[in-house]
Amino acid sequence: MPRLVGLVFGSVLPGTDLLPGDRIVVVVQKQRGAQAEGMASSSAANKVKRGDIRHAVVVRTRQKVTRRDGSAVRFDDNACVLINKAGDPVGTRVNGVVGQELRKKKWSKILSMAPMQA
Amino acid sequence: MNVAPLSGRPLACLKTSVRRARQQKAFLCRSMATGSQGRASPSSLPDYNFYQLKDQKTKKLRSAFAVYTPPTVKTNPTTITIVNKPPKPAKRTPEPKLPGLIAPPSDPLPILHASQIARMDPTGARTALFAKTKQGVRVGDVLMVTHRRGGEPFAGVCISIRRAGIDTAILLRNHLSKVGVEMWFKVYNKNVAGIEIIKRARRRARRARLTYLRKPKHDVGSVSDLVFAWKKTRKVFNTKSSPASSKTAKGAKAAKKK
Repeated sequence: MPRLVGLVFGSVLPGTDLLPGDRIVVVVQKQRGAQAEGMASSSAANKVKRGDIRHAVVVRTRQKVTRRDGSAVRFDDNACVLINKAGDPVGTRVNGVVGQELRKKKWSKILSMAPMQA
Repeated sequence: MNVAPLSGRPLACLKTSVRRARQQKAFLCRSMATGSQGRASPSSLPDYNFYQLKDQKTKKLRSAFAVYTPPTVKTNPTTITIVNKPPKPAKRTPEPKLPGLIAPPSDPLPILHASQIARMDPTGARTALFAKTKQGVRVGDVLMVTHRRGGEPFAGVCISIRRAGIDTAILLRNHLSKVGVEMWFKVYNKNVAGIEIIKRARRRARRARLTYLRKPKHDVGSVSDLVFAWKKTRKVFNTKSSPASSKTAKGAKAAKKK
């Protein structure tokens, strides 16, 4: 489920072998604005509609991801961030932590938007 | 049947070639049965020793080989071995007793682990921290791991301790911005600069692995408030003039930047 504030969607993730930082294609399943967050979402609301097929970057996985030094990280959910063709995030904020693998894969814009890294 | 014109292309006529093969069979076997005879006599072998091959340019050791006592082979000259099959392996003689060669221990792995741990943890602090003692860490304790690579130290409830020699690892669970995060850390990793006990478990857990903490009913949630309180208590011991200088032994090990 991609966590974009400004827009929050449900989506389909293919099951396996996804790492934080991977670029995937998602189908937006649920579209709802984020008025609850106090965002001016009028302009953002029409960015993405239900049924859209979008590119996204995986930022969290339930699957344990082992790092080079033997440590591993596992999140409680799968999450991705929708991006446009140029690779910039569609939304304006990212909810929740993101994996540090993004740094290696040069998704610095998403990293700077994220509140935390783990 | 005239064989002569077909001799150049034996595959042209299958019958002919098969016949020729049948004729040559006995001869072939005898001519190539050299498997047992090809072994050099023990006298022609180099002396039994350890030989070093040095690289001509760099003068460094490139390779080496050792000559052991030749195995005593009971060769029977009358038997003819089949060509395609390799000669039967000769019976192994017991290991030659070379000076300086020690027989490997029956279980070398614990020794390897001990040597690796001695290298990675010369003070023995990490081993003591995760030993099965009263002072050691137990599951349910809240730990904080400081990484040498920078970044925020990761704190969380210790869900499980995987004791496996040098591979000993801990699993910490925490909530970061309302998302559950679990991290494995190798205890003897040099990148793990410090492991500190934030809070002891109130009671001994009756499970080895507290995987039930993943369920919402039992989840501890964020331990950030515990870490905050722990940091406050540590400041009591610091002098005002040099807040970084006075540190406990464990604190010095942690080498915290903050």
